[in-house]
Amino acid sequence: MSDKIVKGIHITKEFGGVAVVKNIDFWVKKNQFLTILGPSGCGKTTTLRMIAGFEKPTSGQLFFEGKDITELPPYMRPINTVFQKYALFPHMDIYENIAFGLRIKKIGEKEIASKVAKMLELVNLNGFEKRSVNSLSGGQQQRIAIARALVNEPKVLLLDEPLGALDLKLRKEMQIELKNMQKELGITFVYVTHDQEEALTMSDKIIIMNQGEIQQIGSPTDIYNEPENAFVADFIGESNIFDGTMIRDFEVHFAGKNFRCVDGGFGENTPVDIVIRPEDVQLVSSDLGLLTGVVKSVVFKGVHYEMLIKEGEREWMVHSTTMEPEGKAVGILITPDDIHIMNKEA
Amino acid sequence: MLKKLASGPYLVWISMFVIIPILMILGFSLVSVDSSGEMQLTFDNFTRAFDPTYIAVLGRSLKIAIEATIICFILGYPMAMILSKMAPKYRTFAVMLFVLPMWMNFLLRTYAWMTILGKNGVINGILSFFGLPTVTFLYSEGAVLLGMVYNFLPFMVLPIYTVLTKMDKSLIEAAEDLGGNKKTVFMKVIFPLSVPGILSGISMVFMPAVSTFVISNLLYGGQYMLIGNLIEQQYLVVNDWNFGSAVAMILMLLILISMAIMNRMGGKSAEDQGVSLW
Repeated sequence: MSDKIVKGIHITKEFGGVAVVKNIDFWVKKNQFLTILGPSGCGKTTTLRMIAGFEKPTSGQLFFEGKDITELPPYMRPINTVFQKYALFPHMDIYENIAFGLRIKKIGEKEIASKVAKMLELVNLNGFEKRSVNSLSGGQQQRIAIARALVNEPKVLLLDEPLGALDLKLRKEMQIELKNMQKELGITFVYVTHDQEEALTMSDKIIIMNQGEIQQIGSPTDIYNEPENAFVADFIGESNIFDGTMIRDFEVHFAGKNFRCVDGGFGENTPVDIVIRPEDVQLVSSDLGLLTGVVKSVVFKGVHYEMLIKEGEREWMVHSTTMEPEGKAVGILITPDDIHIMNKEA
Repeated sequence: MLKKLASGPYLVWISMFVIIPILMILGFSLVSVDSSGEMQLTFDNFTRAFDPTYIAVLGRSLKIAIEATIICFILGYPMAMILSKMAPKYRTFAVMLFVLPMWMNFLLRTYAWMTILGKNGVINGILSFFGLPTVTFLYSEGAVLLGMVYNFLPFMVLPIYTVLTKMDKSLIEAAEDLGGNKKTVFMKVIFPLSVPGILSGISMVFMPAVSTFVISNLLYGGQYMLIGNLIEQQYLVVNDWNFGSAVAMILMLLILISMAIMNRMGGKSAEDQGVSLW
């Protein structure tokens, strides 16, 4: 049997004739932490809602453990969801909220009590049984929402930007906690976010979407180091993206010069996008650089300085732990390894 | 300071048109005028109101008002559900259609029922056209009930409709997600969350229904049918303002008590959502 627990084939979703998700294919492996990443309006939440069953695909098929679930209503799917705004029931206390799914399954009161207690322990909220939803902070509500979903022992847990409303510090803590929970419980997580750092931190695999289409599927390292196109490169971390021409294999022309590079197979004299990560650019004295420019601005970012270098018509973003003062002429040094060549988008 | 100033006009308004009139009615109810024209402080008006004849009137008022409220609820809840589920562009239109009769004069609407239900009315016209025996619908308890339901139904539908449309859809989705089918989702989530709307609907139907005199006047006749008629008669026909005021005070107290009980019953969930009527 295949280890693909959820599989989507040629899935399209239209709202009022406008396609929000365009003919995508994807799969989720068992026990994987999969993140669907993309800017708002890219179709990532719609994709998640189709897996949950809240939306029906306009066309295409959805499989769960090899069975077609395209037409199955949400309550018949062994999948649970953690909602963006928690969606806890305000007319029930915490105990009843977590017990909701178990009560529907007609599980005995004793077992419910022990399961709820176990869940509260898992999310570090022991003793919260009788509290009302409104007396909880955002972070606590989020934990309850996770407990309410996990208590049903779903085979797949869907999370729709669950940390979006939390402050930075809490978000970082929860990222680690969620990742640990996923490993411990061995449940497949499908996580939707627009936060690329969150995606890189937690995921085993990332699907990057833009305008309803999948841009790239891969592990965090693959996506960061080998972005397939300029959109992915720009979305995952900051990037310098320049227009260039591939002269021949392993030689590219941009910024008025020819550079050696490690990519090939683009043909000869093909227009391409050139992506260079800000941390890969070295600043040296102006007579030693391959290119020369002038420091336009310097911003201190904590671990590094972010500098904008004006070089010809281009602006280079450079991350470095040593600062060059504004207005200084500097040399720019890049190695062939750091030049990523991408096909221009049609 | 500004807040204090701004509340001034309302305080004046409330005291002139609410507090002073209520105190005046209370004053009237505690006074009687004997044959020599002398005024006396007394509880006689209240003791008189507990005469079995009047208790029967009061009982009938409560019974009919409760019946009307229940019928309004049974008809109104599904209506509100249907309205709230319509696509937004049709919904506004449907709600407007529903509220449209309310733009017409209340008396006129009730008169219309007289011509429909009357001896030579529309219904009997149809019945006799088919050679069936005519029935007198008018001047019966049923006619009064019908008039109440017809007139007050929108007051039940609108608050429930508002609660249902404002309800967070993700709560319904969460319930489905956790394994609830349509029935479970309704029983465990939608209905409990709509309780505040139901409570305000019940008060908005029950209060006018228990105190109305126009509907019973027109559709039942000039008897002491309901407590509203009794009060009206004391003021306008018998000219016994003191007894009328005592009955009015009792009615007010009854409404107050029933509202308080209801609020206690559903108060917690209403407070949680910040939509409590009181």
